[in-house]
Parts: sequence; structure tokens; C-alpha cells
Amino acid sequence: MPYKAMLVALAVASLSLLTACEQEVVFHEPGVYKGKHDETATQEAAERRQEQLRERAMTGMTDR
Amino acid sequence: MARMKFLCDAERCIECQACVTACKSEHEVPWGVNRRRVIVMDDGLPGEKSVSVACMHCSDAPCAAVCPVDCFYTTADGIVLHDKDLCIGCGYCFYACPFGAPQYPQQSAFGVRGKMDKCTFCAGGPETAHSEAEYVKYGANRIAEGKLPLCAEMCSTKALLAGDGDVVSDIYRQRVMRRGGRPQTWGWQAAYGNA
Repeated sequence: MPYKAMLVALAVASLSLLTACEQEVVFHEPGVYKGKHDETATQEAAERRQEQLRERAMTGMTDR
Repeated sequence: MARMKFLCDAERCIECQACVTACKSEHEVPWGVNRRRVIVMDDGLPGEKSVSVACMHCSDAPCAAVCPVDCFYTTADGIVLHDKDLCIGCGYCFYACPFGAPQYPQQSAFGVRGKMDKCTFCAGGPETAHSEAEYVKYGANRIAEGKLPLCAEMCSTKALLAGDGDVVSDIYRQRVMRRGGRPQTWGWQAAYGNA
């Protein structure tokens, strides 16, 4: 009897623990980057530097 | 929108290794890691060619596809970067990369690998631009300063081109026309497909 009661208590404890986890666990979508945000990787940042990099390539990499 | 690409003109590369040295010096890359290297084809034979190889920042990057912790991301202008805080050094990206770009510093005994290191197109990584953390983990962020990768900018024969794919293609097209042929866009098909 104490063994059975112990099993029931364990089951209840496990269930309550799992229920508690549901709010805390972060579900990551597979294949999607989940690291830190990079401000220089954004569309706006790329557009800002686009013309400058283009000019740099035209002056630095073309033959004199 | 610009799409950043590398192109090495095998007709011009003289295997001087200056790009390798410039990269190591600019980013203070640790011993045993070479983000860029020069490979020689048909060494010692007539028609010998050499090309400078690093991460090509592929359009559909295989390294990103196999990464079990999804630490890769691509910037809006097509530069493939990764977060070293997420990387577990598993080595999958090394096996997936057609250019052998990912490198691993040996950090302890028994061949234990450290975090993966590769060419960042001189664009740093996911840390505050020009911060010490960014420099230590990823190296200098020249792109944020409006500069192109140093390996290409200091190439004495202008064999290594870097920048917007359209600009790089135009420069290369003019060269090929001027010399009357011998186009060799080594690695472009593997890296960028038909894009």
C-alpha cells in the first residue's frame, strides 16, 4: 500500500512539474536562426551601405 | 538590393598569399586557423593555376542547412554569418561546405574542437558593431565602415574581387573581353548556382 501511494504521489508530482514547465520552455522552430540579433544584418543597414560599397569596388577593383 | 560575392580570377592570381596574410593580420586569427587560403591546381605543370578560397557566402548555404543548433544567418546583402555563442563545434558544417571553409581552433588536448571560425566577409558577427566582443569572436567589421574585405582590397593583381555580385560580374566581364576569353568563375556555380 505505501508503495502504491508513493507511485501515485510520484505521478502527481511529475504531472505538476510538466505543467509548470509548459510556461517556461521555449519551443524553437527547426531551421530558423535563434542567436543574437545583428543590427548590421538588417535590410536598412544593407541599403545604407550599398552605394558606398559599390563605389569602393568601382574605385578599388577596376584596372587603372 | 546588393548581393555580396567573392570572385577569384585564376588568370591573375600569382599565389603570393598576401590575402591569407591580410586576413590573419586584420582579424588576429589564431594559430591553426586560416579563414582564407590559396590552392594551386596542376602544380608544376604547364597551365598551373591558383585561386584564393574562403567562405563563398553561398546563396543556399549548406553549412546553415546542416547546423544542428541553427547558428547561421544571412544578412540582407547575402553575407553568411554565425553566432559563436550557439556553435557547439560539431563539425557538420565542415563536411557540408564544398569549399572547406569552416575552421576549428584546437582548444585543449585530445583534439577537442573549439567554436567554428570562418570568413565573415569582414562583416563581424552578432555583437555590437566595433565592440571588443565582436573583434575577439569574429574579427574586424569593415563592412559596417563602408569598406570591402581586406583580402580583396589589398590584392596586388586585383585577382580577388569582392563586393556586389553585379559590380564584380561587370568588372570581370570587361577583363575577359579585354584579354579575349579564358573566363573561369571558379566556385561560382557551386556557391551561387545560376543566380
